Amino acid sequence: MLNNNFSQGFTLIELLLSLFLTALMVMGITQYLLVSSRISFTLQQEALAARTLESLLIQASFSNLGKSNIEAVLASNACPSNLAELQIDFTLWCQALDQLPQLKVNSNSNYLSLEWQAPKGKKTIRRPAFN
Amino acid sequence: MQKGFSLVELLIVSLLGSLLLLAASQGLATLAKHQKDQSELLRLTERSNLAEVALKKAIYEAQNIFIAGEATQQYPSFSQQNILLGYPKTSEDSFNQFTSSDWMLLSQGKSVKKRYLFHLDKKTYGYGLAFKDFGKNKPRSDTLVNQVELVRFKFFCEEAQAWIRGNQVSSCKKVTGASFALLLASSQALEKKQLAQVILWGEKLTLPTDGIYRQLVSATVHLMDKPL
Repeated sequence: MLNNNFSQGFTLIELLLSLFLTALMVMGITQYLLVSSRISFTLQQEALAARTLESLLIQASFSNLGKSNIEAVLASNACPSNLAELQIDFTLWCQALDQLPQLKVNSNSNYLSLEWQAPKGKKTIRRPAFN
Repeated sequence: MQKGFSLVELLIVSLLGSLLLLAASQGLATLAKHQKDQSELLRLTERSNLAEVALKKAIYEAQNIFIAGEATQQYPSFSQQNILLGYPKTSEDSFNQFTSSDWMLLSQGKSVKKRYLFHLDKKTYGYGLAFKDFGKNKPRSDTLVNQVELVRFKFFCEEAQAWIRGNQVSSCKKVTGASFALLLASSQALEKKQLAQVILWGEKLTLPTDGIYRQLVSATVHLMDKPL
């Protein structure tokens, strides 16, 4: 059946509205990218901090010399330059210093913890202290 | 009657439309690149976790490290050499090994048959961390994790109370722990910042500048404290 109505097309407002919606979609994609990157970054930071503590605590359990070397390096809050002499694997500790902003070590008789500035505030990971 | 747009309206809509299309296509292209990089990083992390867990489990369950060998060339060198295992001394077993990597042979029991070898070599379908179980009827080396470019081991010798390297293991009566480090490469180039050089246990490793992202993993494990 023939349609005798005149085709009116879109008005300018309708077109601008559709462009506005497209703009919202682009902003949505950008937001997704930002949130996804932030979550992935936070998870990587947490994994690195936990692995660093685990590695240092296991190595400290082998010998008293190793334990004192680790305590000295943690107190200096720096990546040691004489890695070969110390015999301890500080790979993760040096990575943590590089990748965890404002990294601080807190140690007492009960626990050893790492605190750093994550994208959404301060984060802390705590493990039982050296025996 | 169809009214249509005036020229000014058409120009405004075209301009805004093309700007938005450009932004949308840029956004989608970035999203696609981001997703590709994320999935490649995820695959790399999965492979490094697999290699780490396999080595941790094998070392933890081991009762002894029989023998180990050190790299003879600097990383990156992917040339291979055939190494005679040398344990037991009469053994004629040999295996291929990257000259820039370490290897180790560990035991999970009294029998010489219960030997496991971890080494790095290149096979038909690529290179990686390989595992050989001598307890099987026809022992053969299988690649456990692909694209592992480097393996380093060091061992804690109880009587010396010190960490020793692979060539000193046979002169140590009891090894009570082991540390390992692995360098894994992504299978595609990634837009992720990579250091030109990493220092592993005092050794400088210069990473190739080929766009491939490399991940360094290290861990320390106690051997099972159970008498043979």
